[in-house]
Amino acid sequence: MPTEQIYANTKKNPGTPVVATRAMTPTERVTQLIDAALVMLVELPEAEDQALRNLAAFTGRDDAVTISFVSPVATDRPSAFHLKDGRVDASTRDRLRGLLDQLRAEVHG
Amino acid sequence: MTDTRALLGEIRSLLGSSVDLTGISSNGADDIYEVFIFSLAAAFAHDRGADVKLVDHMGRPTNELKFRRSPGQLFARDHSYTHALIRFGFTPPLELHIGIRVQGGSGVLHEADVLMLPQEEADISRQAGVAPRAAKCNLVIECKHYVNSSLDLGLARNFQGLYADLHVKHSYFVANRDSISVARYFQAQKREYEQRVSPGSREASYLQAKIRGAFRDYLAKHDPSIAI
Repeated sequence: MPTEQIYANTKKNPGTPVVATRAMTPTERVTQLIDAALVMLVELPEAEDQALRNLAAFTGRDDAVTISFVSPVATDRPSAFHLKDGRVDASTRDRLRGLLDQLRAEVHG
Repeated sequence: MTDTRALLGEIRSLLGSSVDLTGISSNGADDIYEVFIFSLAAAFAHDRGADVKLVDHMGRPTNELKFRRSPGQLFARDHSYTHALIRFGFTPPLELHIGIRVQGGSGVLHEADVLMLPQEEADISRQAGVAPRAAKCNLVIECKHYVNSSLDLGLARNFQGLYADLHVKHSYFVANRDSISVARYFQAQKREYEQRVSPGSREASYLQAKIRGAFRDYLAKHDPSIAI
């Protein structure tokens, strides 16, 4: 079915999603890698720091909180995972965000 | 024009010196994202004047917070899991949990990444050894963290199925990435969602505005004089 027809059918029935697959272009692939780097190197450490900061405010104690995740049942996953403050410090995160944004702009340039 | 090699060189030098991603797997990333969303809900309540305490399963304040890596029963005592105790004025307290099994209308157990419920219902769960009833819950948040792919439409369908059985009014699908298909599906199904939620993003504030609705409805029932 031609794409135009699929699109027209979708409009007649709002809410029916159209999922099309094709190979990614090199630009899309590189953009995806840049986005992944942004998530791992900037957003995730930022989320970790913010969670630690937010939750420390509720303990009513001066000392910092520790956050760990433990498995309720035995699994093949590691049994515990600990959140860490400052995996990537704020200034490095800001610098990385700027560089990755510039890189994205270059790829789309 | 910027020199791409110079950019890559600078990124490489930054990565070498001050980045520590030890122990972060995709599961670890999921855990971090869930506790981040949990902290947004707790922080919102605190900012609006609620008394928020982090307590263990016995209700004792703690600063050694322990959460579930995979969903479990609220009443389980295999570890001393942490939850937030939230109280506005003299209203009955609410509990905010991570990774809890909750009973849908069908009687089937489902997993809630972030769940808020009245302490009264949580106490029933602990005393009777049964999963909390979704009909009594105030807020359910499904958290999705993706690193290098967009959201799969199947996630949206699963959330729709979850909502159909839980029927918690304030049920939200939250993700760090976005997808046009997922957005269109939720729009058509009239489900609430927030994509691209990350620290400091506008979407994080939008999510907190949605979470406010859950607190507002609870306060309307118990003490409408409290404005949040």
